[in-house]
Amino acid sequence: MRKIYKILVGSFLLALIVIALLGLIAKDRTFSEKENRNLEKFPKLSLASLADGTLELKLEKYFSDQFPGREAGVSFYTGVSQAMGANLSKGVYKGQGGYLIQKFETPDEENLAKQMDAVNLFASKYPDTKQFMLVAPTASGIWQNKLPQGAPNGSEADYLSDIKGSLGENITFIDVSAALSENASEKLYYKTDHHWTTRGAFYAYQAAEETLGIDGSADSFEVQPVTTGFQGTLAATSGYDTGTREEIEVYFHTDEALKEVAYYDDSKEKQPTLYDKDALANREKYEVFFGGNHPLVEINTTSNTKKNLLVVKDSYANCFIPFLTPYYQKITVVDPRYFYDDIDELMKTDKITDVLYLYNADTFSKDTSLSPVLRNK
Amino acid sequence: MTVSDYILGLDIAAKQSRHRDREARRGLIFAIAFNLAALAAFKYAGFFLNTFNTVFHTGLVYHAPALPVGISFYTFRTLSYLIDLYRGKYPPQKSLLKFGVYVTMFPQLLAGPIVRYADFAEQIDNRVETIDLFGGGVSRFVVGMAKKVILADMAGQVWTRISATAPSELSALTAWIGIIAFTFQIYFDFSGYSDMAIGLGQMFGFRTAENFDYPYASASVTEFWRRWHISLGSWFRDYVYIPLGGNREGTGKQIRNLLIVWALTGFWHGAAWTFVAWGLYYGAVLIFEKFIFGGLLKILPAFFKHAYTMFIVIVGWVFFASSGIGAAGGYLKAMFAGYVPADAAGIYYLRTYAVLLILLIFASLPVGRRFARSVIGTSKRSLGIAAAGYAFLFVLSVAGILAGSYSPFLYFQF
Repeated sequence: MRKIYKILVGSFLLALIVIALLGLIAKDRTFSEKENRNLEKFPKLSLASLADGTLELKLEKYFSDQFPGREAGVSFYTGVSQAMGANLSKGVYKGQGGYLIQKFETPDEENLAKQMDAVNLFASKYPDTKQFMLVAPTASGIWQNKLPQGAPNGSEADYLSDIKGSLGENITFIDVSAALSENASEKLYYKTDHHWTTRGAFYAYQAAEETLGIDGSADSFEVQPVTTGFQGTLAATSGYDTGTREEIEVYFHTDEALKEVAYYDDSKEKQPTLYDKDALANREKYEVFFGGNHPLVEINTTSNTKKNLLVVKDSYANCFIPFLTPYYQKITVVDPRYFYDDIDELMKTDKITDVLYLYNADTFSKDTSLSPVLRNK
Repeated sequence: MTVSDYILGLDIAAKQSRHRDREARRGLIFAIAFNLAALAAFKYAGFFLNTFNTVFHTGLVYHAPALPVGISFYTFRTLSYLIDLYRGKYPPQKSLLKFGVYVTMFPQLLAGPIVRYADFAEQIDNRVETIDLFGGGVSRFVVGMAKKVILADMAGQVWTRISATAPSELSALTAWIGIIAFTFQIYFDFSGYSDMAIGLGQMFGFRTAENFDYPYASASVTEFWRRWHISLGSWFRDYVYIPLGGNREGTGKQIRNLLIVWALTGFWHGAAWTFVAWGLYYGAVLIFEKFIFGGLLKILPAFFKHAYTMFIVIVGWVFFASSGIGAAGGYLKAMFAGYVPADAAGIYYLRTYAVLLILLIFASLPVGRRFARSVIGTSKRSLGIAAAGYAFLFVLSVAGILAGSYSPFLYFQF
């Protein structure tokens, strides 16, 4: 008789019993810090969900999410597959120098055509406003040399020139790629997050000033690191580098006479600042800018330029907008992903004179919410 | 379904025992038709309707019923029972319960092996369960799970990435890496499942014949099919090829029989022309090997034999893995006349997955097993190593499932 089999039987049964017991004793967790997502709760039992198979899926997800030692297991597996050479996980490359870079998927041309139709139609509806579009390249466009060597990746440059080419004549495309590329040796993007850093946004802002008609007279900043404990979402998504923590910088205007009040339409709250200090104590430290994404934010400033700007944006705008406050009386910020109100009404009541679309290439390529908002549907 | 097959079996046997052969024969034909009709209704109706629509330009709409799991395996197991019963190889199973256990035996229901009733019959009545057998079953199960969750799914990720690229943008290098990854994915997926089924069976005291015997170590395509999905190959040999006359009625008939068997083998794998093409491709290669190339192959150096076999097998998987004949053609074009022989992406894939590919090659050949055996050995210390090895594989497999990077078994669709 081979002794190994006795050992195997013993440990196999023991493992099953221990896992089952732990699963029973341990309380269900509702949130995973490491993966940054809500965990599946025990599903409600119903005949309907049994019949269409959703119950089974939910149960499977529940057992997987609440499995004892789940996080340790997942990092063990990620570690082994990385040791065997894998450098792409859930669409995120682990690049050179430990930079996590989101893979850029070649966008769907039909979707772009739909977006551009809506944007051009909206522009022709408001011929007296100045309209601009800034689609920023992400790390996969500017930091190609940080991707794993030769890694297949869609071309953001091609995509941006497609966008530029399909804009009508009353919208100006603001190209910030060159300005970012020139400074590519600086930290323009986070190591563990898909956002650009405030510094990256600053270079883009400088490149955009002239086109936007901004004189730059108030561009004097005090740069302050507000946290060193930021862990980006790419780490959570990919499972790579979950130990790395980063610094977030904020550019404060040195002219203390500049003031602003932001009105958050979702919470109906007014704040004398664009920053949310409390977010720094939480996991989502990037929400220090505006406290995250909101459907509608209206910012009134001490500026007397008679210019009212509408920003239609994704989260890349959150650290960019603070640069704009000295140059517009009012800045209205709309995030189409959460905005369900009447945009034409908003154009009227806020007396919009300038419109700026501000996106990054990745979100813009996947966006489906812009067109319905602009068409007011 | 199971109940009717059970009754049909009893009926055939009763008629035979009273020497009413013609009635028994009629009973068997009815039983075969009945089972194949059920299989056709569930699995092939959509395919036939689509073909009909294409040929006659009609627009009939097909509402696919939910495909019962393992229906192909279920049907084949039932048919083997009925045919061998008719041939008088064994008495019918009188207990409905035991018959039910045979046809729906859960470890093997989903994706084989296709156990023969004769092997099963003696075991259901004289089953022994020992700690040794159980332990052997556990180790077999753990190895199978590791093959599936670790090797097959890691190889599958490579194939998924490469097959998502348009074939016109693939360099020959990338295309080859992709299909080689699929070659390993399908082997470890399927043989991993078989290992788990055999292991589970063994835990309950059932011995099951092997379904795979290092097919990628074969020195000819003929040998490959003796080592790959053994229970399916022997099923077609015993119940189709030989009843059709096999090789006893001249070369012409033998070629015809081979082509029929291989077209059916392909079709059994899926209701699509790609599978038929895949089957006929093997039929053609095997005929070629049997009548023309076989003699020459024997005297070639071993390296050429293996290279030739793997070349045929890998090219064959292109049909198997593609969504349609056109897609298969596009992929083959990329392999043999890619837009360039190699590009940066190809070198990236090669560098990134070199370690994985070497591991896959190693694990798919007998040398991997020999290595494992030599590590385990017999001494006291090596016992610990072996136990640690199994524990490592088990934990890593569970972790892989938790990481959500696993995919369902490929063969469940058959």
